[in-house]
Amino acid sequence: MVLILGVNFNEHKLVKKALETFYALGPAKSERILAKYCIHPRAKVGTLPPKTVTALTAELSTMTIENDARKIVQDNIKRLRDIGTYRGRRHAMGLPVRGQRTRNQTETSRRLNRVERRG
Amino acid sequence: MSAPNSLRCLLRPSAAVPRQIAAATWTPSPWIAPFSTTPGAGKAGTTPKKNVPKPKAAAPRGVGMNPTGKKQSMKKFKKAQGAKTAKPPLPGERKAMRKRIQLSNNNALPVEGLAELEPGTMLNPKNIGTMAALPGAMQDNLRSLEAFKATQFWPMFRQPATLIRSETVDLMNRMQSAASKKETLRLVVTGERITGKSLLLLQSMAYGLQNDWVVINIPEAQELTTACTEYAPIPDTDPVQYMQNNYCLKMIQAIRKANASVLSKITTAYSHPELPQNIPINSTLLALANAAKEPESAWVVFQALWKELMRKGAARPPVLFTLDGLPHIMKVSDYRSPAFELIHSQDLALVRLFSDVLSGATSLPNGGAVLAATTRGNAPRSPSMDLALAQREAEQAGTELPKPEPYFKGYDLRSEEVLKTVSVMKLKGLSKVEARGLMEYWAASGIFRATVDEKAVAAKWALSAGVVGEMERVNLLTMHP
Amino acid sequence: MASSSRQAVTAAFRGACRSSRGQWQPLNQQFQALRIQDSVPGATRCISTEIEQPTDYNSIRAAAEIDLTPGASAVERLANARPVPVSPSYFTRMPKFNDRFLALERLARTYGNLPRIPNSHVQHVAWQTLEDMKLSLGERIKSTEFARCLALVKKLHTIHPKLKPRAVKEALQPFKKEVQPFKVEKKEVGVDKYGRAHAAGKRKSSVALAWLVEGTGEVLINSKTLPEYFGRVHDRESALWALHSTDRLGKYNVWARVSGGGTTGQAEALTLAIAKALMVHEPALKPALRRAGCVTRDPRKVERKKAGHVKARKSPTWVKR
Repeated sequence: MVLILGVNFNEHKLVKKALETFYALGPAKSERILAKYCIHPRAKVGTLPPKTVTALTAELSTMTIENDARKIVQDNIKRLRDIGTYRGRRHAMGLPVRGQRTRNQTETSRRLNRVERRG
Repeated sequence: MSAPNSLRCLLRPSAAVPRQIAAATWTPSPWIAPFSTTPGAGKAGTTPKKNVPKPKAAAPRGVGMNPTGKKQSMKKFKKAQGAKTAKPPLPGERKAMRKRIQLSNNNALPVEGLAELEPGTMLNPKNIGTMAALPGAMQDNLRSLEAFKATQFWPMFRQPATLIRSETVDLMNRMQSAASKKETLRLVVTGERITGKSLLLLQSMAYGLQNDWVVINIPEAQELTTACTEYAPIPDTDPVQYMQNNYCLKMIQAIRKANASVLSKITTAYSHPELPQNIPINSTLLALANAAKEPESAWVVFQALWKELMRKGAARPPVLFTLDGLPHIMKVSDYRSPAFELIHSQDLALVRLFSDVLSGATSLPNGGAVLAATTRGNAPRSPSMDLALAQREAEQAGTELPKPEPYFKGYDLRSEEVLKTVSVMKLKGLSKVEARGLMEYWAASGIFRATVDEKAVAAKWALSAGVVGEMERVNLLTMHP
Repeated sequence: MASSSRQAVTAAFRGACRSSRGQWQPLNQQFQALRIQDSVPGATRCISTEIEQPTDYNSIRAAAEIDLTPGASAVERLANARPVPVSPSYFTRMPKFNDRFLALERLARTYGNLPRIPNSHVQHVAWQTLEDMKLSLGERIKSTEFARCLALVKKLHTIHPKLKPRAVKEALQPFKKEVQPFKVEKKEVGVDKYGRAHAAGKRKSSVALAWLVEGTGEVLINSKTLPEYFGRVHDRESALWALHSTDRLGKYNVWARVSGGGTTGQAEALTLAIAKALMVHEPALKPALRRAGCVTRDPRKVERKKAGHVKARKSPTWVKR
């Protein structure tokens, strides 16, 4: 098991996929991180030298990921709510924000849309 | 007209002649395959001899093909039924299965009178059209160099053997003269698919091993450039080059294993302070190669080894450097630099080393050869390489040079530069004499069960146009009426 | 003829009698009274316009003699001149046709007794139809006349060709159609000056052209070698089946062009083309090639899809209720 930014990863996991498990870190960013540290795209977590692992952790800690990123999203929603916009209201009601129909199939918005958004 | 053709599909060899009659009237003919399902019977007729040949095999094909290339199943919607399936293979097991090379088959018949390969066998034009068995020790060396490929037909024969064709004799003679004159033979082997390009490289390696050359082989260039092995920038290089330590370590180990006898006879002439362990002057090159134990030091050790081999002087053997899959190093690789730009294959240190020798930028001071084979299987398109090779061919033939397309932007000048002065050997089909030698060998090995006469040779040759791999398909993989 | 003309005249009278309804007589009676007698006793009927030699010279009265005395001036003589038609049938309604017909009749009288050959042996000729003749002569030819004329033509045509006089041949010529579909000229088949035999073959929707030349067994199809062109070994075997079944592999070089269809069709089109070209080189191989199934063109094609069907014959699924 290898520890990156406080998270344990299986040694057989691809580094790219491991990075993508962090919130607000997608394929594009993870690819760039790999290139920055000269890790080939098919590298497994177990093959990384400890030096690189530390460097990766340092790199990730400077990025706005996980809670920082979530906070930004929540702030944005809160701002909408506070100034009383329609979008803010929809968020608070857990309904679709962008004009989708609400007759059925609003699972995603019901799950995600709220003022203190978690996902 | 389709009816008679289709009827042939229903014919079985056994249906043609009643078995009992066939047994009663059968007289052993030298090139009719004796065939028996009982292992003892076959042996009784022939003296048990270890040296049984192997066929010439197919040309290189892509290694990266997925053997488990099945479609997405409907697993999601199906419930698992009944007993549990067997344990899934462990990580790496599938790949090992895929890459497994089987070089002998006890069910195949030993071939009498099959000569073993000797240092001068492939130089003699008299041997064109004959088969030569690879000696046991050399098999191990070639195996460690990864000269055999899983797509080739080795597992059908008792012992690996190869066909000596006119191109073989030509190439080996050129190699010999290059070594004797201390020149560098720079050659690209090209040709249609399954024309025996990789096999020609194997033959050149066999020649090198038998004649005390140092043989270095890159069996699949795509392993270097498709971003599947580790890479790191080499400090203090401008423009930045990249080393591939893991691959380098694997390569040094292969070199050490295959060339142990030669390397143990040569001693170092330089001190190498940068190495992780102290290698005193006058220690053997084998010891130097042994210094590579960790991937971190592999590139340094390889450089030291190369420097020693490149030293001009007596008692230094010629070097054979071969690479299979030339198109893969004639393009931009899949690696990315820290600035997120794609790295050109020529910026990878190992590829650069090879390209420099191939282009003539560095020459081998003790003579030798650098051979590259193109591949037609899993090969990327490389218009520059195609153009350059076509131009070299035209130069050799003395015809007009093909010109690049004026409005096509896909050319790669760096790749073209490498192939500016190489010579090209284009492989085509076998001649009928060579084809006959091959078919007689197959018949003697018991896998081709018809009489080999002029008629049969002409028929099979016409169907395959003499292309080796097609000959195998026509003769060994289809049912004979 | 009598009854039909009677009815026609009756119809005419019916209209005429309408005004005098009072004196109505049965039409038949009126007709009886007006009936013209068909045959005048003593008169001879003459269908031909040919001038016959009259027997009774006294009954002929000549036209007044034209005065051609030398004293008359040229102008006077010209004033008395009158055009005379060249052909006696000039004043009939189909003079050109009649001329021909008369000429034929003359020939038939002269040569009608020459030996003939049976109809089955006569060379098949496409004769002009009535419409053709009407168009070409620009005359309103009656069909009965034409039929009689054509019968005469056919009769003359059956004269034994070696004895047939030239005049007959020339007279028959205008009755033949310009294009003679039955006259099939066999194409010159043979090996050209480079030793090549050329033939075409078809199968499904593929067309193959093959040139066969004696050689070492090399094959080029659309400038590719056989294994390059046909990835499937079975197709390669089909393409060369004609040579294989006659043990001629390795004795001929093949250069071929194929187009259309798929691999199977192309391969089997090649079989036919190569077999036909091989028969040019060695005609004696034809029975062997026929046994190998290389001589006959396989006429099967994809059946067209029909309206109301899912495929050519498959019906849509249908359930009663």
